[in-house]
Amino acid sequence: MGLLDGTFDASDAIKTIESYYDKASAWVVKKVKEVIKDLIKIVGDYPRLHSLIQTWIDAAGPISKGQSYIQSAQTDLSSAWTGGASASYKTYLDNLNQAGTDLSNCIWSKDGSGIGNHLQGVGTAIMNNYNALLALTNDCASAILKAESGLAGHISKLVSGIVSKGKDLSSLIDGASGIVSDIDNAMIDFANAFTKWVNTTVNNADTMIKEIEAISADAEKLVVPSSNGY
Amino acid sequence: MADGFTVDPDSLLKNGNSLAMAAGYWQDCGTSLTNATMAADLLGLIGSQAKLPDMYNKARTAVTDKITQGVTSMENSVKSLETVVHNYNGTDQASMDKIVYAGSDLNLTK
Repeated sequence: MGLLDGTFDASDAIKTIESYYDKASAWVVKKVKEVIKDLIKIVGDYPRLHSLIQTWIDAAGPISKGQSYIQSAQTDLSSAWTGGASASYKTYLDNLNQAGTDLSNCIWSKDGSGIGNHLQGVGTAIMNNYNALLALTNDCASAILKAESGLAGHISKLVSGIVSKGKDLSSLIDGASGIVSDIDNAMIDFANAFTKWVNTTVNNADTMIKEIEAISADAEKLVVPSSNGY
Repeated sequence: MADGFTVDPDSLLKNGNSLAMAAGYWQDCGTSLTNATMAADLLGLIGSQAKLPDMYNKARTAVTDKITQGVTSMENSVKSLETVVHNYNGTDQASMDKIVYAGSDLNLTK
C-alpha cells in the first residue's frame, strides 16, 4: 500500500491522524490540568487564613475592654492612695496602660499596622495569586482552543491532500507545516502565560514575606511592665 | 495608720478589682490566641519555602507570652494592693477576699 502507487487507503490514514490528534489534544489538556492543580498548592489556602485573621480581630476586643478597667484604675488612684509607694503604683498603671494600648495595636489596629492587618495583607496576596492562577487557566484554555482550532484546519488540509492520494503535495506540506506552526504557537502562548503568572506570583510572594516579617517585628517590640510590689 | 501616706481601703480594693478585671480580659485574649497557630501548608509552597508559618508562629508565641506576663504582673499588683491595705489598717481577711473574689476567674491566689 503506498501513497503514490494508488493502493493507499485514505480512510485508514484519516482515522490514524484523527486518533493521534485526539490523543495529542487530550494529553495537552491533561497536562495543563495537572500543572494548574500543582500550582494551587503553591498559592496557599485563603479560607483557612481568613479564619486566622478573624481570631486576631476578635482577640482585640478583650484587650480594649481591659483598657477601660486599667484607665479606671488610673483615674481612681488619687482618691484611693496618696504618698508612699503610690507613686510607684501610678507609674506601673501608666506603663500598663501604654502596654495595653501597644498590645491592642499590635493585635489589630485601625491604622492597619496590627498582626491581624498584616495577615489581611497576606490574604490579599494569596487572593491576587488565586486571580493570577485563574488568568493562567484562562490563558491556557485560550491557547488550547486556539491551537485546536488551527490544528483542525491544518489537519483538514493534510487530510484533503492525503485523500487526493498525494497529488496535491503542496496541500500536504501546508497541512504538515501548519500543524508544526500551531504547536509552536501554542507552546509560545503557554510559555507567555506561565511567565506572566510567575512574575505576578513572585511579586505577591514578596508581599507575603514582608507582611510576616512585619508581624515578627511587631511582636518583638511588645513590652509589659513588671509589678515589683508596693 | 502609717505615716506619710493615706489609703482609702475600699477605694484601693476597688482599684485592685479594676486591675483584676483587666487581667481577666487579657487572659481571655491570650486564651483566644492560643490556637491561632499557622499550619505549615497554610501559605502554600511559597510560604513553606520561605518558612513564613514558622516566623508567624514564633511571633504569636511572643505575643501570648507577653500577655501571660501581663496577667501575672496584674495578679501580683492586686496582691500587693491587698498587702498595702492590710499594712495600713489591718483590714480583715473578708475585705481581702473582695479582690480575690473579683479575680477568682483568674485563679488568683493569696
